[in-house]
Amino acid sequence: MKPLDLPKRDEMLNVIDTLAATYLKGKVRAVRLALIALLSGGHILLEDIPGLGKTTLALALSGALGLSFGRVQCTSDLLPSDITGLSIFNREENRFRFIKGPIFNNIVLVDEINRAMPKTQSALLEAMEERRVTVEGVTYSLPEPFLVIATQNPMEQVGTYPLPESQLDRFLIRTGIGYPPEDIEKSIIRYGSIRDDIKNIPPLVGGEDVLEARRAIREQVFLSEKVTDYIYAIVAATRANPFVLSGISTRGGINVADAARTNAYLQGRDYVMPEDVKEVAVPVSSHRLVCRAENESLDTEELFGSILENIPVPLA
Amino acid sequence: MIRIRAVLDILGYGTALLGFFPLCPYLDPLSLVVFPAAFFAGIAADRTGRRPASWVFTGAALLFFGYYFLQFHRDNLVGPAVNLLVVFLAVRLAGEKTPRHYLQIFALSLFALASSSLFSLSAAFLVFLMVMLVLIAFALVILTFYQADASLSVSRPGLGKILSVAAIMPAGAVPLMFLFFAILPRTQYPLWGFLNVAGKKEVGFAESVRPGSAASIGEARSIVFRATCERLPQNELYWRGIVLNTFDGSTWARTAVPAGEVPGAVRGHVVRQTIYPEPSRNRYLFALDIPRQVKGVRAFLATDFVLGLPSVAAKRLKYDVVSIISRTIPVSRGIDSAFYLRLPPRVPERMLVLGRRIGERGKDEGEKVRLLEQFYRAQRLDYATKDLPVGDDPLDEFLFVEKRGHCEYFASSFAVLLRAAGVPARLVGGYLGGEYNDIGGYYVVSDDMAHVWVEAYITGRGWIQIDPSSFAANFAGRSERLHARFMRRLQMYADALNYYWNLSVISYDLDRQLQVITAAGSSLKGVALPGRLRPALLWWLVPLVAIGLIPAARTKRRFSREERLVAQFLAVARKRFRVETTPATGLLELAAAIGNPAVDRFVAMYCGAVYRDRKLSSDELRTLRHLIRTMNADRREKERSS
Repeated sequence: MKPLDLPKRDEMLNVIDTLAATYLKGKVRAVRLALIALLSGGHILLEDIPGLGKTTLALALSGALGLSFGRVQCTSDLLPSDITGLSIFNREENRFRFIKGPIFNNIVLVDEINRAMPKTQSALLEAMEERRVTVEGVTYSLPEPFLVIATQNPMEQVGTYPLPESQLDRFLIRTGIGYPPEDIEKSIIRYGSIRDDIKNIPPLVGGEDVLEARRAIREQVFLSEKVTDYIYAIVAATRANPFVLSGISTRGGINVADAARTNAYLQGRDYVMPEDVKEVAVPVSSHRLVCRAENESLDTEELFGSILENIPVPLA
Repeated sequence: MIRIRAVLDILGYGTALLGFFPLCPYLDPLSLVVFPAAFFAGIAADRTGRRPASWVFTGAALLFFGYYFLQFHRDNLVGPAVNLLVVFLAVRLAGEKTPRHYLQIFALSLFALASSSLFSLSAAFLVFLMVMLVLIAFALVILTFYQADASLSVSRPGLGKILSVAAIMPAGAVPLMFLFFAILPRTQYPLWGFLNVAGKKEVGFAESVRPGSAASIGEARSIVFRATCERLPQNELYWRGIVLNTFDGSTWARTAVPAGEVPGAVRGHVVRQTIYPEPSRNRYLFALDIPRQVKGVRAFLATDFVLGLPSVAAKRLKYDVVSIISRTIPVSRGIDSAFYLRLPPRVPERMLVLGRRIGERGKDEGEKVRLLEQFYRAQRLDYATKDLPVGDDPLDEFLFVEKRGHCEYFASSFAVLLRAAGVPARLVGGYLGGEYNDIGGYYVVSDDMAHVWVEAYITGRGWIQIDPSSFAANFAGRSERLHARFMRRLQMYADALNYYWNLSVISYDLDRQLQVITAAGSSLKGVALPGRLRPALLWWLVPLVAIGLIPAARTKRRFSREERLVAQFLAVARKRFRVETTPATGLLELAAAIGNPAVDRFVAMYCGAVYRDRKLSSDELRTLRHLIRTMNADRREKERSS
């Protein structure tokens, strides 16, 4: 299938290729999903144990995209103002001056988000959704493009505040990173961390390019009725599943469609195929499923995958 | 609104009647009374909703069972069983009806109908069976509704829809029926009715004649045989069966024909007949007097022109006979006169005297015959089938006292008198007359046409046919049966149906099946229809094909071009590329799994249209179809090279 020449597609693919080939070996999938989240205008939650390169991923992405980068390390005493910023009295000018917090960056890495207390979490997530921050009566817009890469460690339970379902729903994608393949991991061990190299990644694209790509996805990629029906069938099936307490929300459906569009765009197609939906459905949807109390131990990704397997693809 | 229950009742009673009617002629009086009574009691009880407790019905069924069980006998197995079947059906009809009971009614009716085929294999069976199958198919569908909600009512169009769906089952069964008809073996006889006739009295034709054995004879009208031949005057329709040449004082029987009799050349009108006898245990074949040649069956022609079979036929017969219509059988070298003049030791005095007197008065045999005929006419004898003379000397009684009797009295007394007068004589048994069915072009000969006449030997001329019954004062019009024209017409149609049924269905046996197959094989080699037939065939074929295509077209319309195309593609993928597909497999995944350029192109083009929500253009359709063909070809090539 000959790919179509969509605006900025080559540049975006170049970013993925460069990052995956040179800097983030064995993390193609995570890079790709992160880019899908960025281009769909959503946020990504990386759920994995520490030390697998979550931060490196965020750094590399921001470097290659030529975007500004901010980082928040969450702890239980982190205050909302530590993220959004706060006003400080300027003695010389004799007035308060607003100091922007780390959230005023294109790419914000929120590390171990589940360690922050709910108040802070909710302030952050509100900013993610609204794309603006209101401090002391003044509303500040966040820069565009804006991508939050949040991480959390699913293993640690002590001293954490797990994200409530309503908050999880605000992430477009949740995924793990996983261990790199054996030989790649060996080479990483041998040559050490590439943190220093990442600082020197030349920006491959700019913020403007990202915005243009987003526009192209929104305006040029066609979502047919059949595929819409397919997405709806998936959503409806999660709601009817006996193991599931609450299925995918309407926002979840919108997110699946957006991510599928972006996937089609990256594939060089100006229309969405059911395969696009299938490709993104698990990372986009599985964290939105809430299992019944007696089935809480179920892995939602597996559960969602089994639901997906039983939904016929519209072929004609 | 129509109550489902009412529909189910109608269907139940209808199937019960269909099971009962074909069995009617073979039932006991008891079950013949019980069934109608229960039938109407059941209808009344359904109306009022009041009926006796169920133990009453169980008890009745047990009683009947006991009654018929006692009648079971080695020689009489089927009779009680069939009666029991009908009585059970009757009890079910009268009793309360749950869905289970309805099913029992249907099953019992079907068994009853099926058991009627033990007695008779008429075309009516097919009609009954078809109607019953349709009714039961309807009833089973309705029953599922009834089971779900007994008080359900449906609207008239709703019911119509249900019934039309139900009609699919029998409609689908019809082609299967024809298929099985062509390949399955079948019986040519009603199994029980044919094998179990031991001890049953034959009405009509018998292998011996014994006047005076019964005070009246029945008027059974069962068909003996059908014969296709040209139309002949009624008085020429003497169907010759058996020649009875020995009289022992009460019974005429057939003994070995004396040797040395050589028939001469018969002159007269030549008639060819094809005769289809109904199955019987009779060993003699019938043909128009005088048969000269027989084909199609292994039969011997005796010197007295009796057609005999070596043994009772094991299957339905069909034979061709060439007959010469003649009243005289010339004999070239003379006969064994002593044999044909032999009288039993005891002949009634009056008859012996009368015969001797005629023998003395007549100069030759011809005159003696004439004199005897004059005597018969002068006696003013009546032809009758009731209040017949019986007793020790029925013939004497018949001639001089009662003066009424049927052909057996006429013929056997005439022959005795002839012998007493010194004229060699014998009896000929067979049938007289026949009803011509102009629809099928054949004569129907039934039991009530059985007849006996006399042949007298006149030196120089040979055997002469004499029908003494024609000397009866009331003989004229005896064979004319008066029916309303319309009824007669209907009967003819019904009989013609039976005739063709026998011809094409019942006697369709293994030989015929093989014939059909070989004929089909040879005709396929050179399919050339006669020019005259071709348009006619076309006229029949066109509507048939059209009817066949309607459902096909409807199902085709239900699937879009895209759906059909993708189905084709999936079939190719499965068959040619051996990939497993599930409904959840997308086309792109399939293409990736196959890795064939033609498949990739197909998927790209197809998806480009379908997932943009637009129909395939005809150009695209052509290309896609071509691609499917290429895939097939690709695969074959690969197989060949590997």
